[in-house]
Amino acid sequence: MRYRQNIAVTLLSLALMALAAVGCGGSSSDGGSTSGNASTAADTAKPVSGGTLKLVRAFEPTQLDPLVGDTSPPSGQIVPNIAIGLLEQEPGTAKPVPGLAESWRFSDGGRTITFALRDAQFSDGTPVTAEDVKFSLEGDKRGQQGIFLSFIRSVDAVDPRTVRLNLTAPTPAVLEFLCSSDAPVVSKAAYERLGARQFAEHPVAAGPFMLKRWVKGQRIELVRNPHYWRQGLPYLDGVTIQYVPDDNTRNLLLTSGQADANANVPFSQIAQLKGNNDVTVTSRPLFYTANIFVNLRTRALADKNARLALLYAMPRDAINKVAYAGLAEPANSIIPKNRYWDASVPVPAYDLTKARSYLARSPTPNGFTVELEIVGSDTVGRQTAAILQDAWKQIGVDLKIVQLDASTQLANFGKADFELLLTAGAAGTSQVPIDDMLASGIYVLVGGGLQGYRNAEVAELVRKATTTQDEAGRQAAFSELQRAGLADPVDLPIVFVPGITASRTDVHGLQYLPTGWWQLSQVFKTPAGS
Amino acid sequence: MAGLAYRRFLQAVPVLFGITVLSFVLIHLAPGDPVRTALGYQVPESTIRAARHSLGLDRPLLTQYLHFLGGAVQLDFGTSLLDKRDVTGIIGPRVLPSLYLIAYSVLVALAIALPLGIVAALKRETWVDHLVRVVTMISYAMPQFWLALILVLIFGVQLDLFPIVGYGDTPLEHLHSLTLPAVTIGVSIAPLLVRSLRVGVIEGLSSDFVVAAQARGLSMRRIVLRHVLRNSLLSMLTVLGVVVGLLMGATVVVETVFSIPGMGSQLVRSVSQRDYSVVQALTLLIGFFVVLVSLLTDILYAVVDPRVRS
Repeated sequence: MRYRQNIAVTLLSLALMALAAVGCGGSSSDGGSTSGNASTAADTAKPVSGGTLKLVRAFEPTQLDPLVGDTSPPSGQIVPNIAIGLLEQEPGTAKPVPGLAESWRFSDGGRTITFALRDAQFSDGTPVTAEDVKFSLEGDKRGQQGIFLSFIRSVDAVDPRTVRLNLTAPTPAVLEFLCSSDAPVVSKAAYERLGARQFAEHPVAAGPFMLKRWVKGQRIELVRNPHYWRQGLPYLDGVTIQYVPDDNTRNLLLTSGQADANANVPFSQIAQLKGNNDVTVTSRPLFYTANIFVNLRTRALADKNARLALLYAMPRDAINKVAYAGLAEPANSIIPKNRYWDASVPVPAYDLTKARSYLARSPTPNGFTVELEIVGSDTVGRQTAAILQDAWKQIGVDLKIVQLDASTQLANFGKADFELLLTAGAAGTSQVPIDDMLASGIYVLVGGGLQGYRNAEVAELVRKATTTQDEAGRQAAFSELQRAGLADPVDLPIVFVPGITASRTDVHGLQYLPTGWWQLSQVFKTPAGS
Repeated sequence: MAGLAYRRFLQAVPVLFGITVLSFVLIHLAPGDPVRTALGYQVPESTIRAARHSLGLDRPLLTQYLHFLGGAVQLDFGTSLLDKRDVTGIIGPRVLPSLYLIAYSVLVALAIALPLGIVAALKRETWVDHLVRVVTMISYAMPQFWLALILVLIFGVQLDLFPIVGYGDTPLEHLHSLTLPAVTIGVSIAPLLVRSLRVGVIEGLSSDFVVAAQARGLSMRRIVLRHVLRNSLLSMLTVLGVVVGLLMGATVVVETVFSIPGMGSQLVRSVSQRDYSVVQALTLLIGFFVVLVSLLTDILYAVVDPRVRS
């Protein structure tokens, strides 16, 4: 199915884009940690309306057209604040919650969903109708149909406030898909009036903010959408997102107060920021795992014992401390932590004795030489590779580190011309935080299609996990998959990568979803002196 | 003068042609695939082939080059492989920031180099001369990146006199925003101008016409400013022309630190993403500006030295 193939597109293209997103924070109802001047008073601050938030980030989006479904963080962090869909992600949990749809019901064995639209308006004051939903979700605009919507067979506008989605098959994660950046609802009339090109520059949608101005190469200015359906929100009058490629310059802007928040904080700067009383550094779990891709067509890596030897010779704590400032979490799963993550699955411990015993059972008991491709400009990758080189040497594996630029690494991956590969930032990621997509991508589409992974048990577990409607059954299948995936690893998981947010202490409510998106509607700034 | 300009312009045509060939060959030889970069890791091979076909990337290289050249002559550089926007729309807004930055930097460099070069020459082999040479050596050796951050810290953060990032929206804001970047570049290129001017003034001061002028009772100030300087400028002009040519597209470090949307940072970004269309257009444009600077240098040379005009 096309959508399954395209899952891998998003999966692995975001791996490279995650170099930018690693600096972004994610929000979760648990597991977040805050340091710096993070007093309890800041958490209970009373929302204040007004003001403009000045955000700095490293990368500029290539486009802001909601209908393109660009999942790269530079675009993916801004578009959800301009355009929303039938459902939205709940801050902290990323669970689907009502957006433009007030309620919904399933029928026809899960093949049909009927949504009741709320009384909402677009940013130009025109009402959101079922025709707009139909226009937005059906068909292929821009030649890049959102990959997450390929399960929609057709959309019916039953009446102006009722829309029916007809699915190709019952899809357990359909509500999560409808939260994605592929499913925003835009104004059909505005699109047809402006034309595709103009609409991409001036989108008309129903998010908390509108695009006021995009000064290419410099900044994006958002202003409050006066017709946003949530009364009283957003608190801010506007948001200015300035593009500052240099890490040190962004840091200076934040610490001097000329910026309110920094979206891309290198791990190497965290210690310094934590010592600043005017800055709050927040670390929250993201839907990202740092994995090493393995090409199983490499003779030395074809046998699972060789891969297990590498897995158990990986000093995750040392990598966490050196490369991630101690803020990451050793990974016990190739799929990132999300709804079906099983905490009871043990993290592969750093055990050289065990690693040697696995190696002894492999066709290369005396060790082997293998190449690891990393992105040369990625500090975290370089540090990780250096630690692994030293650790694996102790079990007889000679690791050659090959530093490439991102494009060359990507091309090599596409041609399966690599042995081991560590992408910049993180490997497992998705802007739709459901486990189904990554399970299919990691084990079947990419793992099986590109990396040469063949494991019938794992394939069956993926099928079972992604098609079971019963929640308990899905959890059991995913748990089993998590264990099976570590028993015969297609990738070597290192850590769950956290998202780092650094903001001034007068900024509150800066929510990062596990996908690394911002949710700016509930952000507010307390006035100076309060 | 018109004949000189016309001859130089004709000489520029094969140079620009050579630039297009070189940039085309080099970017296509570099490993990496713009279609893969744009579409991601695992896309079915059929999709990759279809995308390459629609972009014309599966045609023979010569055909692709001729297609590019034909468009370039009409100032149509195609569409960015990544951004899907017209290349001229991507590059256009970045030309003026780069040109303003370079021009401003040259003014700063001249403001530093002219007085220092003259003073060093007049006080040759004294502590003043040595001090000027040591200071200029240090500033020449200073990494631009480091100097930029120091200026940001002092004048942008602590004193809050200049913006740290951005380019501004109005001409006055451009001037204000480009001050720290221009000082960064100006300080780094001024040493070259100081040295060449110093040598030129020293040579000029030992000329017969200077002795004659002194014998006629002219003041040294008048001799230097009205007679010696004009003759000394020739060597400095040559150096200046080369330096400005090098600055075209080489301001990426400063553009990155100060977040200036210039051609240098766009070129680096496009090369890293293998955006062939933008790379080819930018290298051609930068090459054109280099040729233009060389032409202007020759014209200025002729203005300063009447012997060249004949």
